[in-house]
Amino acid sequence: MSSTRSAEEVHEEFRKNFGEEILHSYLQSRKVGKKERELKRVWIRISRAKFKDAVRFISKIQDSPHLCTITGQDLDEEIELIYHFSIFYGEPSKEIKVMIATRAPKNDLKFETITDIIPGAILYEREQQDMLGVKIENIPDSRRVILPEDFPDGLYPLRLDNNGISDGDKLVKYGKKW
Amino acid sequence: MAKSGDGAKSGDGAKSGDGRRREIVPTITIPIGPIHPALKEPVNFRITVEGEEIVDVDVRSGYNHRGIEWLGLRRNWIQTLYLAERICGICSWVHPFCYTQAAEDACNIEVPERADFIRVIIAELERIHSHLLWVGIAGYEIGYDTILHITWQVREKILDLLEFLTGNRINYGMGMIGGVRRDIEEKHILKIDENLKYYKEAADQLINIGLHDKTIEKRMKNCGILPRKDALELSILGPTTRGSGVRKDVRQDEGYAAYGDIGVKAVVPQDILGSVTGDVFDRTVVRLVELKQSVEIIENALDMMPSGPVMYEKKPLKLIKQMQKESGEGIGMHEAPRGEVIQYIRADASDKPARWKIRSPTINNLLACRPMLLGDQIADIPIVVASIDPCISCTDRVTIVERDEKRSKKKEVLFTMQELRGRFKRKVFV
Amino acid sequence: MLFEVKICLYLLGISLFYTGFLGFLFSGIDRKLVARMQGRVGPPIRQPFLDFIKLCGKEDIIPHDATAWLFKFAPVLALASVITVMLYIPVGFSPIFAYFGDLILILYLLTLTSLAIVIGASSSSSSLFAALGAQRELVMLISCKVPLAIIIFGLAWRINPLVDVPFSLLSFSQVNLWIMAGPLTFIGVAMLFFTFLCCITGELSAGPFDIAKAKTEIAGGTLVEYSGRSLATFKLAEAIKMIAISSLAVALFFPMPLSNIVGIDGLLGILLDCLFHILKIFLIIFVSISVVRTVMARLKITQAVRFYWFVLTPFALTGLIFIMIEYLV
Repeated sequence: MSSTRSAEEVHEEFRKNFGEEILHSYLQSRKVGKKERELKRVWIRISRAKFKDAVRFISKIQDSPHLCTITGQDLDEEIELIYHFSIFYGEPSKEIKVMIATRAPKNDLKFETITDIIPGAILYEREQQDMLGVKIENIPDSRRVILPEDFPDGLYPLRLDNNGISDGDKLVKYGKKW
Repeated sequence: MAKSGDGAKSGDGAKSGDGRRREIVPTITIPIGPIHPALKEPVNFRITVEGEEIVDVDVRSGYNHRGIEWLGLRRNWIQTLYLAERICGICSWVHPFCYTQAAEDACNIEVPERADFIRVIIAELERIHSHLLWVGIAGYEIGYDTILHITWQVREKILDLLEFLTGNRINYGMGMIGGVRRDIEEKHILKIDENLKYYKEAADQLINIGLHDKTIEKRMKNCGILPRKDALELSILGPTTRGSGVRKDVRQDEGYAAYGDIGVKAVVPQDILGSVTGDVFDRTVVRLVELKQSVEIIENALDMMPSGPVMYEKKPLKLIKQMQKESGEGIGMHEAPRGEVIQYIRADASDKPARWKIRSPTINNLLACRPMLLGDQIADIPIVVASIDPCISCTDRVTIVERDEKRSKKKEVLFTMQELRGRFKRKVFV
Repeated sequence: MLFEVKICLYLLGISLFYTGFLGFLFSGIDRKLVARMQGRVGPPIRQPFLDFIKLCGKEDIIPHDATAWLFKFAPVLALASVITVMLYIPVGFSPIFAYFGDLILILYLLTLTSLAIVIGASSSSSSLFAALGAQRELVMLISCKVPLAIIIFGLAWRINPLVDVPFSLLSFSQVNLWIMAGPLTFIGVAMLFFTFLCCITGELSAGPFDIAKAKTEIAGGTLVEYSGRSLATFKLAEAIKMIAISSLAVALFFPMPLSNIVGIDGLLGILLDCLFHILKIFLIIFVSISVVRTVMARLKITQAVRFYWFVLTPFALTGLIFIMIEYLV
């Protein structure tokens, strides 16, 4: 295992290595319990081109970093994927959560797969394809995972635009069909 | 799904390695699920076998999708909290626990110290009942019904305790953004102490059974082996990864809520048995020892619990109003009985979350089924699948069921557990 | 001639009712006892009767791809073979065909019951789970017949010089195995008896050997496709098989009737013997099924085979050697 570092150092390392490519980054901390300790999170938003390098970089900091999940969200013009990593696990209160986010415009919804670095990401990537209609490139298995096989194409439940399921008619239609 | 999880490694190895053997022994594909006696919830395993040996595994899920994330974006902060409670039937505390942490993170709400301790106590009580339930199920899967009946009888007590503390046996309604809804008072502490004493003995007995029963050993040892390397690469969680010797436990690593103050150490088989195999037996031992660990955590939490308020803001409307002003993002996590749960919330200066993402442990642990099952026998399938303690209702979470108006007009009748027991006139033999 | 056939049929009917009743009674008692040992209330003792009656009134569903006649014939074959077995095994009073059959025939008929299940499950129901169950049933059949055969042939060989027809069950009632020679024979017979108890568990696929019908593994296995009257017939056959094999154990090892000792003759004596026999088979069923079912998990098929072939068979052979030593030396 690599030696542990503080959240500030990890944040600094990222800024030093990726410089301009980091669109936005900040440190979040929260006092918990008897208020003697702080939970630290590093949030990094990085350009799509350098995103995979960032994942490679984090796997250099920690051998096989723990990928908690991938959160996808619809931000009107763009779709953002947030990859939640935890590093330095295994020791009391040393773990740091690193969130690496990247965005793609809606007319070019392509992200690169990270399954070659972290094989455990496969389910989350497939989930994003199901729920948000992004295209993960080079994904080893692109079947549906959460939605049923005969769910209508082009309908993505968590989209907030016309391709999503709105409160009204589409859902009722879907319900009746089933 | 799991097929591609570890890519070309094991799958292709089996194919190319014994190409000649394949021609002789015909393979058949057995569907396990969506409906099968070994599974409590719908999930589909397609298992290819040669004789009795498993050569390929594919997992399909999505039979229980209820659209909870979607629903959550259409309810306000407090309503979503109650929805979070209903994601899972067994761990009805882990999701609100995570949700409140994430919402507090996103909206900058400070939690009173006492509330953090109460949250931990409820979480650990729930872990005891969930692990006991699992031990019972595991016994049932290997055809050892006595274990099922005994552990579930033991488990009754903790459900009664939870009812006494929170008012409900499940879906406690205890969580609130910025604290908990009910305080733990002196009378509660007395009852908790009494139960903890009972559970200490029960845990010792169960560990004794688990470590020394010959048939349990025969069925659980050397089957469903998950190597440490696979556990790390696939980001496997909870007791499943600890069974492979990885010291990964959010309570220890992160020290969220009051866990950092109490001090938790991840339970791994090398500390108990001296060596790690990563088989079903190791995972069972981890869970059994965690029963004992939970009892200790609750004892410590009760000792260390500071006095003070338990809620940041008592009036929900005022709380929502305050949260409406905030925007930001946050994550909350908790070591559920099955592994790490993580939730992400983005607040957008509105009365409801702008994005609410839930990740329950089972979705990732399902990936572990493939490396575990390859090379095992058909007879191992139920216990190996059960050994990840799958909770499909957490995993899928979506299909909105339209309510049939005519049927739902029936008046609902509620019973307490005591009343229900009273309805059985015969005395239960203990 | 016709009259004799008629009598035979009557006797067959009586045998069917008596053993069927006993079988269901004992499976009800077994379920209740296991429930009590597990700390629950359990079903009422009459539950197997109710199940049977209810199943008889249910529709018989034949799977689409099944060979219909074979599928329907298998339960009848199973029931016929166990009833026939009961004609040769004493159940308190001497059996109808006491002077005809021998142990080989009994073994053969017991095998036929399992084979009927295999025929019904594998070749005709076209279900995957049933096929797997049939495969396992066959493996179980092969593995637990070996020690059973050793016991029977060994004992028959031992009593050969003492009686006229060693393979007849009647001969066993003439000698007392336990005290026919010294202590080594006693130990040997005890070992064989223990082996027999284990074989009963396997033959009736109870507890750890409930492999062919494993509920959580292959969803009920051999009987998964059966319903209605066919299932009821199978249930009846299994209940009678339980009585048959435990009565066989009684006939081999504890044939002593009570009426001779107490000195009551006639109808009352037969009744007393019947009750004594019921007590004996109850004890055997309790030890070899109820207790084992409560305290053990289901084994894997490979483990079961290993147990029968590499643990139980040498154990039985050792017991046999003990008996032989005292006889030959």
